Amino acid sequence: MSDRSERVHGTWEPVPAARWEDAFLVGSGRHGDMVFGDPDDDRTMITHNELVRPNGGEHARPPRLAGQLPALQGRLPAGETAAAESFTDGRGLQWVQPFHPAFQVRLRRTPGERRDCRRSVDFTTGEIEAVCGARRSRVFVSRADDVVVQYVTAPGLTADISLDPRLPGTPPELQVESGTAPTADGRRGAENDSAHGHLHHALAAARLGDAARASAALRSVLDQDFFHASLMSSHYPHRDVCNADAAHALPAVVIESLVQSTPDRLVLLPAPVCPTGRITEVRTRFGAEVDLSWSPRA
Amino acid sequence: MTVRLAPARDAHIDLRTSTGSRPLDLRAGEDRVLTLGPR
Repeated sequence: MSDRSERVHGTWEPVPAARWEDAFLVGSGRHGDMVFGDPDDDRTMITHNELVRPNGGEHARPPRLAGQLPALQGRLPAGETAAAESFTDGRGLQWVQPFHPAFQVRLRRTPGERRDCRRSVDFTTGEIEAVCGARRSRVFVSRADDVVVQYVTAPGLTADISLDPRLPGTPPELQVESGTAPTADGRRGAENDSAHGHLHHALAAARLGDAARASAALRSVLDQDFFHASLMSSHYPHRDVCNADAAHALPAVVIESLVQSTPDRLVLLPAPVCPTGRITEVRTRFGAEVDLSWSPRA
Repeated sequence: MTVRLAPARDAHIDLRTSTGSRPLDLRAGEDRVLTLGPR
């Protein structure tokens, strides 16, 4: 018996999911992922806790029943076991807003041999694994870093990767954008000279603690005449096509390279884009303002 | 590197720099000024 079969806190299936209802689920409370586990058409469907369709429920307020609670608590011990069933403010049935997925990521390959296929979810770690022959795909959602991670290994791995927003029930106004993050070996660069591309690149590099790459991406914007005298930015170099992406994103890049925070973490100078400097009044996610000054010697 | 923290609410955080990490308790309204090692 293999180690995988000995897991008791999880579940597994011998075939990929054919419907989203049968996909394995993983999530952080913010992002979710439904994993189908098909080695030839490896789909992971991303959800988000705020991606819901309006149905009027967004305006619903909690019922004002707190003042009546003590009386209800007295009725239950008195034998009125059904008393709570009528404990409402009289409003009609209101469904919660239905979720809809954001998009799916597909890794497609030329259909290969299918043997020893198995997909499983480990309830202890929250990791989903799909193994088919020598191909292995693992997916988890990190609460700490707020990312969905898929890690695929196989001999001679090649795959067609696409981000596909065309899902049943998707609102027509939903727009999805994709970007490319630098890999650890740095082989991927910008796909074109748009400001938002360079700044996405810089943000990802800052998160990865890669100061050199963050600086290079930032310089691509600063050195190519993207900004008007008013500080409004353009989409392309030499102030071509007015566009606010860089005007808003550039300060974020500078901040992310110098001060990063989560509700319980502060990272100082994760990817400093200049050797000496001072930044003030940075708002953190744990409710504090930060002033920071630094130099190579202090 | 010198950092001033002005917390608006109590927080327990992990402070990280290139030289390591340390826990830090913050009290609302009590500024903290820290001098940390070379970056």
